[in-house]
Amino acid sequence: MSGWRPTVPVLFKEFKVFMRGSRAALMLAVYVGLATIAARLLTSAVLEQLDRGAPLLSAQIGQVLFIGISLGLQALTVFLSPAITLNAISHEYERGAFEMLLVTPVPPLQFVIGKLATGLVFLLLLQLAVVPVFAVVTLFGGVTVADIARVAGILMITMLAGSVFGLFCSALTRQTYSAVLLCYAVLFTLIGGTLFAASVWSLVNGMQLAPPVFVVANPLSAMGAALSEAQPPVVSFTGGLRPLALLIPLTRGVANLGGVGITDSVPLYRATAVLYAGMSLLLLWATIHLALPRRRWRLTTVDAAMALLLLGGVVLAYGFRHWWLAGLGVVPAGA
Amino acid sequence: MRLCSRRARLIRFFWRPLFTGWRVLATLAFITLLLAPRAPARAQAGLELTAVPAFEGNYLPGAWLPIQVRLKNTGAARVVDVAVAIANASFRNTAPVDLPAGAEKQIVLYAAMEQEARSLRVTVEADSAVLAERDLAVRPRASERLLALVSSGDLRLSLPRRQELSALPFTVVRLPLAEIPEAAVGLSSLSLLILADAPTAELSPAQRHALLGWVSAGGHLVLGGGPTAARTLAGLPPRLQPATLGGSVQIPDASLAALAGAPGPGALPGVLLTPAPDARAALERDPPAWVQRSLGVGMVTQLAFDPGAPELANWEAAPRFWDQLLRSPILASFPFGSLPGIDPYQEGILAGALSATPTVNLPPDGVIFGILAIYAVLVGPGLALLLRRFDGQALMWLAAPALALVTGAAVFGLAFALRADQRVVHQLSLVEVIGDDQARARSITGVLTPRQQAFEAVLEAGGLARPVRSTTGQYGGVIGVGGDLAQEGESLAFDVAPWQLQGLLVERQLALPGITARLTLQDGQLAVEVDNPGPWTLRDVVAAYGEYLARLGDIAPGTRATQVWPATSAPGARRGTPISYLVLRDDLEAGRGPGQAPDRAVLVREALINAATTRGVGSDEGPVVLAWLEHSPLPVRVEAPGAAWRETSLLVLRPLFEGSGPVTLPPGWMRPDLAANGQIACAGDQGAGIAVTAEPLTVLLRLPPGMGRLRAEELTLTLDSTGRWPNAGLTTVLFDWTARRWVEQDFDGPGDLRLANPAAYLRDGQLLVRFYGRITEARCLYIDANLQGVLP
Repeated sequence: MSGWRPTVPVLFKEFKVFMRGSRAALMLAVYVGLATIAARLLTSAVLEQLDRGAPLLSAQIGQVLFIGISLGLQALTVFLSPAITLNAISHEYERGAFEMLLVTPVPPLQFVIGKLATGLVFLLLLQLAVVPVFAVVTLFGGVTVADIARVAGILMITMLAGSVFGLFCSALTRQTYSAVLLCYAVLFTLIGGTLFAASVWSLVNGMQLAPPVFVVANPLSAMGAALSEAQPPVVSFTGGLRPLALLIPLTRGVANLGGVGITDSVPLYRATAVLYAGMSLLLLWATIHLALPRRRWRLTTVDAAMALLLLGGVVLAYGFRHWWLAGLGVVPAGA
Repeated sequence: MRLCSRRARLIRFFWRPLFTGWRVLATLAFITLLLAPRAPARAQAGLELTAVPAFEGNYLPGAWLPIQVRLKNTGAARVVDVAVAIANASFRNTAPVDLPAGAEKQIVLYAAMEQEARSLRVTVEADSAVLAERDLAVRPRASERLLALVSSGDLRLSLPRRQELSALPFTVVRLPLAEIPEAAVGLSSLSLLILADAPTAELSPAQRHALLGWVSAGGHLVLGGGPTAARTLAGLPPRLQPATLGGSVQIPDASLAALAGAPGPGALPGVLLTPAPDARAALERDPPAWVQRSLGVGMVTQLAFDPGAPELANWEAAPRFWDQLLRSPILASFPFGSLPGIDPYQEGILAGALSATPTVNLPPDGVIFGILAIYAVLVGPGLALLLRRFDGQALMWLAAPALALVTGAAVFGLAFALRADQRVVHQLSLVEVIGDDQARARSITGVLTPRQQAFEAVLEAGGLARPVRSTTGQYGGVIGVGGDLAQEGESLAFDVAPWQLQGLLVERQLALPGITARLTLQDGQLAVEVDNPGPWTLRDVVAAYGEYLARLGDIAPGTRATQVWPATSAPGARRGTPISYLVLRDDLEAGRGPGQAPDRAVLVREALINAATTRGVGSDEGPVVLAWLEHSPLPVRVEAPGAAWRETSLLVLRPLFEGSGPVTLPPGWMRPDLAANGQIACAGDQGAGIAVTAEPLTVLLRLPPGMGRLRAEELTLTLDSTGRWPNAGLTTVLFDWTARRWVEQDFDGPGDLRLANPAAYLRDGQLLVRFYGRITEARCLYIDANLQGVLP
């Protein structure tokens, strides 16, 4: 049961180390700075294009900004989340510190959880730091609390999945360089490949919408689907600049596109959230084993706890199947 | 049995016809009861309602139909709303009526006939309860000539029957003088109105103004002559009298015969008409059978003879004559057919311009982005450097969220404070001065809102309101508002759906005393003069005609501005160039550069000028003076404080010509009237010309109204074409008005044709030229005139 002792000392150490040096401060500045610059450019571009299209309400401008900023943040999160944890384990191996850790009373579980928690908390800090940028959206209005909650939820689940995946790659390869290559190769394949597959399916099937299952694992599609619900009933595109148009390729298979915009959509993000939660649990379980230098696959009480947790997740997912299966366009029997 | 059978036959013999007759009578009585328009509705709650549609229920779809509503309150005092609506329409026209106990009131309720309907429902309501209702049978007369006869006697015209006409048949209704509506739009269903032997002195001032407004908007008023001519003219505004009356004379029938294309009815007893300077007499002038004057886009025809004269009634060619004479000066096509005037066309332009509504009151975002830029530096390197000095970098976990929360609270608070209203209100007003200190005003208000909302509007000047017709502008669609639209009230409520630009049209004829424009002639020099005694500053005033433009700048209240008419055409002008382009050329060109978007305000101004000046073929109202007003005289103040608001108002004046003496008119003043001979325009390298599709080609050239008296001393026609000018086999003839014959000209063409005796060819500002032979090879013909003469 030593594995379940409090991990506070490890966390404190990880938190202290994380903020040492300029890396964290720089990441904060870059993250907030990029979000601010994106918001500024988007605002200028939208306002400059106002004379080129149908008259827009302030709310529509706010929605365009919200969609643009949220998509930008999601893209940043997708690539930044694994980056935070990519060297967490591999770095320890590379400098030979992991062998030393084994002789300390700190078990590998605490070590992995400590690394993950630090990364996640830092990602949350990034999200919190970027919140003031959304004041620009408030200036124009048009976004509801539900829209913001949906986007925040997608961002958080993406952070969790991204950091766990980064940790997994780090534990699997035990080399930072290989972990980075593996992680981003998988990410690019996931994002580009799913959209490509959905497009090919659409082309082959007379430009019909591809089934949502094609893009369920795509984090940008999930965000696109979440944002498509934030649109007004009648969408007026603003001339050549169309942040909303980004939703079209991203939501292929998810949203129906009418003449003036997205007319209806399925809540793909629900299915994505369930998928990411399940995958995160499985990857974390695998990472705990992979982090061990030897006798990796010996079963312990941790595995029993993880199995129970996974079972609980499956039961929960089954209980709420109507909610998330709607994201795949599936209506369960008896619904 | 035989006896019984005989009795039965006898009974059947007498009884069956009697029974059948009773059955027919009963059916007729039942139908009469159903259709009887004057029968009072079943009294409810002590209220009696009688409603009678004007024009015997006939109307042109798209126009207004006045309803005479009589209310008798036998119950307690109350305030009721009278509403009229077409079934399933999204709006109703309403009027509040104060009914003291025992009161009997009569009002005229105007129904906007926006659909082709055969019934109307009039209801009287109080506190959302229907107190009385009445269904009225009405008859749509799409693409017909609805002719109202106003006469003390039993005036009958030998009009062509429906089956004799291929288009625009006549529907004749009798209109008592007292029932002429007091609002000009109330007459909009009529194409023609004949006043003959009518005691117009009994007309109220409002009725006189209504007649003037209706004619200006495209109506054709015909005034009967003969022995009762003076009585008919007595109460009419001077602008509605194209001629002054003289003594009794015999009117030769030449003009009637020429118009009917048949032998005339013989000389008719009539009165001597002396045409006003801007009026045109019929072909035979000594004495003229009728005199016509264009007014706005409408016309007044004053007959020298009595239209009900027995000689005319017995004349075989009378139907043909009336068919030719009783025409609408201009017709606008409309989804349901044609309407006299250009109101639907004008409304389409104005409603379309609403799509160029400005976006919103854009909030100032510079402060917020400034704070965010500082914050981005502080939250990262700023905090890190600060904490490093105290060796407390781990405190970043607390300091960064705290800074984020404080900054977030500050910028969100600031954003809420700076946030603009979500609603957009855009108003366009077109005010056309029609003479006698009267102006026709139309205000179109567009509202765009993110929520379903009921709006209140204050109408300081009153007016009749209806939803705009659905249309598509340059930047999207516009639909009409819904709800109960109160007439002539100071306030108006209407409903607007979210995310959809919706429009409301308010129209009214109002008094606009003193603002006048004149074209003067001094020392042979034409000049335009504008008086502004009113309370408003007239902005960017321009006078335009053809390809000429004179800018007068701003005219302050109580001042007068004069500008010499330019001798050369405006830069960039070609034949047929829209006046809006000439006026706004620089602004429009600035928005057409690569990567440039036209300024919405300029597009709105362009649309307003187009609505005021684009008439299609067949109407030349002469020079126009355009001035921008800071505030509309027909304001519709929508109660939406904080909403983005833009108002653009254009004042349109038609300058009257004054002065005498020698004058030189360069090319562009004498313009072809394509509608006179059913021609269409073509476009070529020199601009708009006359499409030559058939031979012979007859072209009528006209001087603008008011210059008809000009006596030509030198006249040179300039002819050109897009196709090759036929160098043989082409004969050019001109009509000699004095000798009443065509005179062949020695002209090879193309180029200048100098006329030897120009005075004979120019009469009432009109010149007729005809081409025989291979003129079709010219394809698109350009014809212009250089004129020197004397105005007496």
